[in-house]
Order: sequence, then C-alpha cells, then structure tokens
Amino acid sequence: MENTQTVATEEELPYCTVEEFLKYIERRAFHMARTGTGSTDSAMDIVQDSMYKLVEKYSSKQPSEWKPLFYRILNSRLTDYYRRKAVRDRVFIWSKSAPKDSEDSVAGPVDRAVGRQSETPDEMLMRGQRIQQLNHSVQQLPYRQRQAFMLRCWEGLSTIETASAMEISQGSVKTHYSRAMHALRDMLEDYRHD
Amino acid sequence: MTKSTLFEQDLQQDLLALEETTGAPEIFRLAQARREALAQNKSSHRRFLWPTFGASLASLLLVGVMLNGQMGLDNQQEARLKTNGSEPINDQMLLDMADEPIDLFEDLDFYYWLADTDMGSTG
Repeated sequence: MENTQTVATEEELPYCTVEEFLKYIERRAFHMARTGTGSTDSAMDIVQDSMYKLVEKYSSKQPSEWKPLFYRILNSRLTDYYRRKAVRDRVFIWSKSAPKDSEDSVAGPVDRAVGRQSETPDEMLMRGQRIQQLNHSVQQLPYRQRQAFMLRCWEGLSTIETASAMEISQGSVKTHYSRAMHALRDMLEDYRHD
Repeated sequence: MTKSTLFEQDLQQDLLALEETTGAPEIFRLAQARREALAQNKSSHRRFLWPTFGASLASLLLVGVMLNGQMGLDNQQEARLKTNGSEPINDQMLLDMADEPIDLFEDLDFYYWLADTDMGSTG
C-alpha cells in the first residue's frame, strides 16, 4: 500500500489548532513510544517532551507540517533514549534487566482489549492475543525498520513524509519498510492470508 | 488485492485496536502533558510581554519628560526678556511692540552734542 499524496491539504486535516492536533496524535504517539521503549513511564516522558518541543518551536507552522515535524521530534527523542540506555547498560552491566513494565505490556492489551459489539468473547480474546503478539514482534524489529513501519503503516505517512521525519532518503525508507514487513510476516504467521 | 496489502490492512486494524486499549491513567497523563505543553507556550509569550510593555512605557515617559523639560527651558528664556517694568514680556506684548512705529533716531548727532554739553556744564 503506497500513499500517493505527499502532504495532506489543510481542508482534509482533522485538526486546525495545535491543541486539536496534540489531542489527535497523543495516544498513537504514546503507543509508538511504548512499543519502542517497552516502558510506560519512558514513553510518557518522550511524548511529553515531543509535545513541548512542537508547541515551543513549531506551533506557528502550517497544520499540514505538524505531523511530520512531531514524528521527527519523537524519533529524535527515541534515539536519545536508546543511546542513553546503551550507555547505561554498558556502564551498569550488572543491573541490565528487562523493560520495567514488560509484564504490563503482556497483560495490558489482552486485559484491556476493547471488544467490538459484533465480536464474541473468543474473538475478543483472539484479538487481544494478536495485538500482544504484534506489539512484541514490532519491538523485536531493528530500530530503523521499526521506525519506518510505525510511520508508514501505523500512522499512514507517505514515503516523503516518513523520509522527512526519519531524516533519511526515500529509498532508505522503502528499504527499511520492506524489510520490516518481511520480518513481521515471518513472525506473525497467523496473519497470513492463503 | 495482494497478500501484502491484506497483511498490511490486518496489521493496521490491530494497531488501531491497540490504541483503543489505552488505559484511563495513561489518557489522564497524556491530557495533563498536553495542557502543560500548551500552557508553557502561553507563559513564554507573557514572559516577553510585560518587559516589552514596561520598556515601551518607560521610553514614552522619558520622551515626555524630555519634551516637558525643553518646553520649560523655552519658558524660562522668555521670562528673562524683561522690560523696565517688572513684568516679563509676553507674546502679546511682543506683537504689540511689533505693530508700533519704529522711531528712527534721525537727530542722533544732536542728542550726542546735548549729552556732551550737559556733561561739560556739570563737570
């Protein structure tokens, strides 16, 4: 699936003020950050920092520019997080452990899966398990592939917007995204349509 | 529809469902973070507004004081232009004087001679 339009026009956007934009983006950004860090608190800090930076530096920009800019800030914060974590893990090697809320991330989606009215309890359980499996698989992806996947598939950004957010070329975006999809297809065999 | 497209669509559906699992505490914290981010932008505007306003007001006051001082000096200079009487010359008097015919001292030599004669008689 390829997004043909490069940048959404102002009329098509579901927000027109910074406040509306942040309200629109915050949950997805939080889940992306939590998928990337495996920690609710770290994800919350990253999202809050990103909101601050966007409002401080870019609130005067056009609304159509906010989404790529926000994700560029978010990715930058995630990169900083990984670097700090890598240094911390090297220095404090004896305290290296699994992410804090790894148990939460296992139990959370299953427990909190919102069932649709048409779904039976079995379907709800299956969906919850699929979400959990997807979340875990995305966390296993290499950083760049995970970024490209979340921005292209989850957020629905075009290749150009994703390249701007990741600060890489469009060709690199396509490569990372293609590899991510191949890896996820291998990990998530239940999603295959025969 | 290709397999990869169906697969992507399935993933998108599940990712959107993942967003719906956001717990109430997280929703509250996100809303709080959003409010704080927007509030810091407003406070940063106010942080610049009052000093700017104060500086502008101070400049206006300074200009006013300088103009007032200059006008005061002009008034003092006028006050120094006094006639034999104790009254200072005002604008109306200057205008009146301007209308009066100017006496030309055509007999200036006579008045010098008179003055010399008087001095000679007294001396």
